[in-house]
Amino acid sequence: MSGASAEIRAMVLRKERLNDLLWSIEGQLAAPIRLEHGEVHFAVNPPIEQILQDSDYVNSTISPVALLFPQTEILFNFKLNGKPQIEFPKEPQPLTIFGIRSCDVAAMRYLEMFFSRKFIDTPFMERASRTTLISIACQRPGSSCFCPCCAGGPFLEEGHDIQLTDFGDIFLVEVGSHKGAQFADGRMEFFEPAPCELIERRNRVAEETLQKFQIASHMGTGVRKLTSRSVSEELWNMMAARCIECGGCAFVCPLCTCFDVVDHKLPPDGDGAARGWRERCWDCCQFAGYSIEAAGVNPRPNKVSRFKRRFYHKLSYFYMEMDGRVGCVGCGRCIQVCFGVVDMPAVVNTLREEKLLGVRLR
Amino acid sequence: MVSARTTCGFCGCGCGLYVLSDGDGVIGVIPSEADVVGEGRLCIRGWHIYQPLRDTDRILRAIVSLNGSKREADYKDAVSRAAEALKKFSPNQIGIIASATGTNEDAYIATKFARAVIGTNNIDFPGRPRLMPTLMQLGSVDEGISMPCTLNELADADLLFCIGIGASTRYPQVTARIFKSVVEMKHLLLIDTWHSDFAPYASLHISPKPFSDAVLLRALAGILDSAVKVPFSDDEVSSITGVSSEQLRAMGDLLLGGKRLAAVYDTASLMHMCSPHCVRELLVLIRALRGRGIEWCGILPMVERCNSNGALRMGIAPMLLPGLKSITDGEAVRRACSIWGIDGLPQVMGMSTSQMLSAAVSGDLKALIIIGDDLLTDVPDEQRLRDALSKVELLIAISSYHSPLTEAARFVFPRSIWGETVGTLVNTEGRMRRLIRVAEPHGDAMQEWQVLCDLATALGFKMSYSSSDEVLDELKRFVPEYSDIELDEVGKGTCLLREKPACAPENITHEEIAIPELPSPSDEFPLLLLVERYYLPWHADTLALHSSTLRREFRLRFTPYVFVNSAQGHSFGLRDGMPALLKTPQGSARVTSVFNDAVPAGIAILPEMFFAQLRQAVGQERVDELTGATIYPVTVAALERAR
Repeated sequence: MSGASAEIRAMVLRKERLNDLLWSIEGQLAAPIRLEHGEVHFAVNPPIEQILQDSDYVNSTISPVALLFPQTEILFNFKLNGKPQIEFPKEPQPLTIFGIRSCDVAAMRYLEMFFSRKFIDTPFMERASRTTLISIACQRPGSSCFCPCCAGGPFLEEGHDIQLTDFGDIFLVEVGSHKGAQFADGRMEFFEPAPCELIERRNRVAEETLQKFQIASHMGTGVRKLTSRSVSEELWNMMAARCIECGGCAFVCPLCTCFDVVDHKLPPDGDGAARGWRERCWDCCQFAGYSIEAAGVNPRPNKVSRFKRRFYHKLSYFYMEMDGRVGCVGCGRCIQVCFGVVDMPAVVNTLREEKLLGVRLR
Repeated sequence: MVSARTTCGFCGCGCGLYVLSDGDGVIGVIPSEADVVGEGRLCIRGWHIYQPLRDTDRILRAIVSLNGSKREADYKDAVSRAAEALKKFSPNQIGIIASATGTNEDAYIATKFARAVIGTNNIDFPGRPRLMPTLMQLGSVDEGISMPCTLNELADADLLFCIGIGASTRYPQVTARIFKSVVEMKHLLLIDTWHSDFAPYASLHISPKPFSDAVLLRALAGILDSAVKVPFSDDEVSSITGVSSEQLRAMGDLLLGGKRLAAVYDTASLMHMCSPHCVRELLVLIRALRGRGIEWCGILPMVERCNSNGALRMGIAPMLLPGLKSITDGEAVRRACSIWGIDGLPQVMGMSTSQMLSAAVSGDLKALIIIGDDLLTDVPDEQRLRDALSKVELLIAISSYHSPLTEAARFVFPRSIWGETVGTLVNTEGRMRRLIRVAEPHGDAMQEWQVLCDLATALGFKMSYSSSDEVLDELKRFVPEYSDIELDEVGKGTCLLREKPACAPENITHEEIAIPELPSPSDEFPLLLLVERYYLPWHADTLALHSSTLRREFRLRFTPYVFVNSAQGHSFGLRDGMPALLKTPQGSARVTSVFNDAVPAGIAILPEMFFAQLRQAVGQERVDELTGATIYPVTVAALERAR
C-alpha cells in the first residue's frame, strides 16, 4: 500500500454522493439490479438509478465472479490456411464491481490464487488485474447464508479492495488493498474522515450481525470427518442418491473453477480455409463425462464416486492446506439450486451427525 | 445483457430462466428464483439450453431436391414450388406430423393448416398416443373427487403417491418436490419396477410385476372401500401383481394416514400407467380414499416434451380441434368455420402418426409434411421411418437439423430453435409458459407457423399474422375457455388451463380388468425382457445433441444395450459393458450388457430406441387400437458371453 493510502484506511461517504462516485468510475461498472421477476443480478453498466442499495438485496443468483469467469467465453478465433492464424479477444476494459458481498470477495481472492498458482489462466487473470471490488458488508444475512462458518463474511477483515458499511445516511469506507487505495486516492473529494466511534460502531454491528444467521455449517467437523475417512459408504450412497447431477451447485458456487473447452467450426470462407473459434464453458465434476479419459475409461464411473470427489475437494484437509481455506465461502447459493437437499450445509451436517435428513428407520 | 424471463424448452416441467448475452451472442443462463415451477433450480438440460444457439451445424436455407440433386433455394421460390407439388394430391392423401417442441401458436396454425387449408384430419404428433390414457380418463373426474395437481400442491401434500416415475432425472422439478417432502419426513409411497434413487427414501416401495398396475390399484381400492368390486381372490392378486396381501394392507394403511394426497405418474412409461385402464383404476382408488376421509387428492401426470400438453390442446390429434374439442362437436365446428372463413371441416377421423407411416408405406398416403424431428425419438424405428419416407411421393420437412427426415425430403424449410422462437407453451401442470426470443434466428430459419402461413397463401388460402400474439388472439376467440388468457399472467406463471377434454367418458366405470399375460421365465430363459423408454427422448434429442456438454454427457451409442442387475449379470459370467448374446425363444442378437442396479433381479430392460434393431429376437410390436400407442412384446430371455 502506498504512503498516501495508509492514512485513509477508514473514511465516510455520504449517501447523497454515492451516485456521483459511481459516475466517476472509468471503464465498466458492474452493480446489482433487479431482473424482471425480482431476482438480483450484477449487470454491466446498468442505469445508475436501477442500482440496488444495501438494504434492497441479500445477494445475486449468480456470483459476480462470473463477470471474470463467465459461463461461456471465446478463447480465440482461428483460421487454418497454411499456417494457423489465431486471433485473441481484445484486452478487457477496467472493471469496478460495486455492491459485491463479502462472500464473493473472498471467492474472488481464492480464484485469483487458483488461476495463477501453477498455470496462469490469462483470460481470468487479465480481467482480475483490472478489477476493483467495492463490497458492502452484510447486516441482513439471507435465510441460506452461512459465511461466518467459512471465513467468508459477513464483514471482511482482509481481502477487500474497498468495503462499505451502511449506517443509514452514510457509508463507512474501509480501504483494504493497494487497488482500493488507488481508487480512493483518485476520488478524495467524495470522502470525509471517519470518526473513531464509527469504527467502534462498525465492530459492534459486525458482532451483532453474527447473531442474525439462521443456519450454521460446522465446516471444521466436516473437514475432520472427511479427512479421517470416517464416513460410511452407506451414508455416501444415500447422499449421492439425492443428487441428480444437474451441475447447479458447481455453476453457482463462486469457488468452482472447472471448465470444458470446445471448438466450433464455421463454414470455410472464400479461399476455402477452415475457420472457427475455441471457447470454454463451465463444467462440473458431478458430470459423468467430466473425468472420462480419451480411451473411454472413467476413473469415477458412478454417481457416488463423483459426489464424494466433489466434497473431498471442498472439504478435505489436503486441499485446505494447499488452498489456504475450505472450498466454500458460505454464500448459500447451492441450497437454492439443489434438487435433493444435498447442498454444502446439508452434507456437512450429515457428516457431523452421521445421519441424513429424510432417512427413515425401517 | 439479460433477456426477459423465458422458459426452458426441453421437458414438460418448463422451468423459468433468463438468458445472458454478451455483444457476440448468448453465453449462459440464470435460473429464475421467483419462478413458480423452477424456484431457482435448473437441471443439466436447463443449464445448457443456450448452447445449441452457439452451435453452427444448422439448416440455414430452404433446400429443394430437383432431378436427384439437392440445392439451397430462395425461400419464396421453395414455398411456391412446394405448394404446387401439394396441389397434386387430394386432402386424404396428405398427412402432417407435427411437433411437441413448437409453441402453442405453431401448433394452432398447424391445426388450421390441416383442417382448413388441406381439408384433412391427418394430423398428429408422435408423442400424442402416450397422453391418451390420461386424456381419456382424467377429464371425467368429478372435481369433488380429484383435482389436477400443480408442482407446488405436490410439495404441500403430506402423502406422495408416485407410480412408475423412473429415474430422478426425468422430471427434475417433481424430484425436487419429492426430496423436499422426504426431508420434511412426509410419506412417499412408490410403485415402480425400477429401484430408483427415490426407493431408499420411500416409506414403502412396491415393485409390482410389469403391467399389473390396474389390478394392483383395484385391489388396493377394494381394501379401502367394500363397495369396490375386486374380481380376483387375494391369491390371484398376489400372483398377478407379485404384491402380497400384507404389502397391500401396508399400502392401504399408509394411504389412509395422509390428509392431502398427490399422485404422480409418468405418462410416457411403457411399463406403468400405460393404458386407460390404469388411469381409471387410479381414479377408482382416489374415490375410495375420498370416501375414507382423505381431504384432498390431486393427480399430476408428467409429460415428456416442453409442449406435449400444448400440442394436444391446440388440436394436433386426428380427433381433436383446439381446446380439446372433438372434430364432431357442432359448436366447435361452427366456430372454426366462422373464424377460419370456411364452409365446413373434414369429419372423417384422421390418421395417427403410426397410421400415417404405414399408409405411406402402403401408398395410401402420398404426401407428408413433417415438422421438427420428434419422429426420431418418439417413434424410434429408423428403418420403418426410412421405408415410409422413401415410399411417399412428396415429403416436406420443416426442420432445424440435418437428419434422415431432411435427407429424404423434396423440400426442406429451416426451422428456428429454442431461443429464436416466440410464443407460449403448456407445461405438465397445464400451466401456460412464455417463450421469449433471445437470439436472432440463424440464416432463414423461422417458426413453423410462418412457413405454414406462406404455404397456405401459396395454395390460395390467405393466412397472414403479424406476430405470434396475433395467432394467440385468434386462438382465444376459437376456444372460449382461453378467452381470458393474458400474456402478462402467462409471463408470471399464473395461467393454468383446466378445460374438459372431449373424449372423456361421463363416469368412471367398474369394467372388468385385463390381466397382463406374461411369459414365465425358466432355467433356460431366466429373464423377463421388457422395453422401456430409457434414454429417450433426451439422449437422442437433436436440440440436446447440439449442446456440446449435453452431447458429451449423454454419450449415446447406437449399438443395442440391455440393462441388467449387476448380480444377475455376474451370474451369466458377464462384466459391465461386455458384449453379450441375448437369447430368446425367437432368436438371438448381440448386445452390450450394461449393469444397472435399479433393475430388479429377474428382469432385463431393453431401451426403446434399440427395439427395432432387436425386433427379430424380441418379437413384433403392435399398435393399441384405443390409444394409438405402440405396445411392445414381452419375452423371456437369457444372456451369455458373446464369443
